[in-house]
Amino acid sequence: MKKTIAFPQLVELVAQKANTTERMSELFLQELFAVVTQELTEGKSVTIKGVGTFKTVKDDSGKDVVFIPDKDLAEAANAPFAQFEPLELCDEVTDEMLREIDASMEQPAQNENEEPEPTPVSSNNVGTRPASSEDNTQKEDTEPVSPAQNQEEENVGTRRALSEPAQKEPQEEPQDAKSRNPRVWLIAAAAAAALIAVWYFYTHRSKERSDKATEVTQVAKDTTNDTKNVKPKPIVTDTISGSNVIFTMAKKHYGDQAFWVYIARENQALYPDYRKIPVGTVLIIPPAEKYGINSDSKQSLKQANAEAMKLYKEVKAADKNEAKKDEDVKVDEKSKNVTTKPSKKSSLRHSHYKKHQKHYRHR
Amino acid sequence: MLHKELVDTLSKSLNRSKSDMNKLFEALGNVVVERCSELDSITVPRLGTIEAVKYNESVEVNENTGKRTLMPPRVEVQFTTSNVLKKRLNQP
Repeated sequence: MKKTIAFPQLVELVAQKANTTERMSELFLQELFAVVTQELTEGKSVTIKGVGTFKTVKDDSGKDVVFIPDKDLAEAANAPFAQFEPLELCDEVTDEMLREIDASMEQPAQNENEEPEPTPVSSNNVGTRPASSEDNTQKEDTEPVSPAQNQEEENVGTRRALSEPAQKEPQEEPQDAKSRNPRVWLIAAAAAAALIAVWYFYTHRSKERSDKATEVTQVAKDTTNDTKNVKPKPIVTDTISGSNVIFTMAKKHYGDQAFWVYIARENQALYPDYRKIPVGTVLIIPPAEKYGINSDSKQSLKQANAEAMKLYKEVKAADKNEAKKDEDVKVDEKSKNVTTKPSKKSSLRHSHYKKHQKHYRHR
Repeated sequence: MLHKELVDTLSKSLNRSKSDMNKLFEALGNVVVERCSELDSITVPRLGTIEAVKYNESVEVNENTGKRTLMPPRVEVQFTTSNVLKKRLNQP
């Protein structure tokens, strides 16, 4: 950031990019800038592809060079702020509020200069956070999983319960077979009709049972298939970087930057102030259904804006509380200093005592 | 002078093919884009400095309507002419 690239460094960089020798790169750059200077002194303009156009302009103060950057160059340089658009301020936003925002934005900037660079965050961990907040995220992470698991367990239970009659059936068959023993033949030939009736009755009932059992097993299978299909959705995350901020994330994942507030809300437990999320932090991107996000719906956009205003107020309130606490601490320190500071008289007395210590002891 | 003419001129003066020149121009463009997106400045002796300057957000007031507009922060690529070139340009 904010480095000055001198000519030798530029030669080196161009040579690396073009895969040529530094000598070739140096000759090329020297010749190029000589031609550009010559053209400009002659009052002509020069266009370099990927860089821009140099033009000479005559002012009251004399001739000067005007540079119009190439479209790609201008876009690449302004990429971190490309998603912002001019915003008309409503009457509710007072100048005081804006000044407060400026002051609050300056404070973290100062702190950033003092503090070392934030430690890079591994993709597994969602930023550096206190233990208590970690528990909350773990709960959140497990939330979508647990109902599905419970469902599966329930289904397994029902599967077992329902499959029991199907397993018992073959056991009943031999029992009925016993009842159909040749003993029946010994009773009487007249009983044959009754036997047929019994046989008919049994076959009819077993058929019904088997049908029911197949139905039940089919239902159980269907439910298990459903639970297999309803897998918990993977948690989507994104990393904060120079060009990828919370607004760009919203545009990327939801189609409109206005929905940034839902990302801020989702990660509020870890990062209560959305303005102070350090670079390299991995943020959880909530599913669009969770907050009813729909970039085509005007109502959804309105809701997001209202939510953003709400969050802004919360953050401002937190800022005020922190400022109050700081003031209280300062006041306490001042009062402590006053009490501990020895008065002039007492210090004189002390020096006098030290001087004549022996005398005092003697007495 | 357009880019094509510049390529022709340089390929003749350096005795190199146009494809080589195009390669070098592409590399220069990439280096400038990379450095400017990092807010660095590139100094070219006797020509000037190309630098990316960041402007903070500001509130602009329309004098006619009195409406206030919050202008977003932006990064602009600028060129500062060197004193040598300025003197050469303004020579009588």
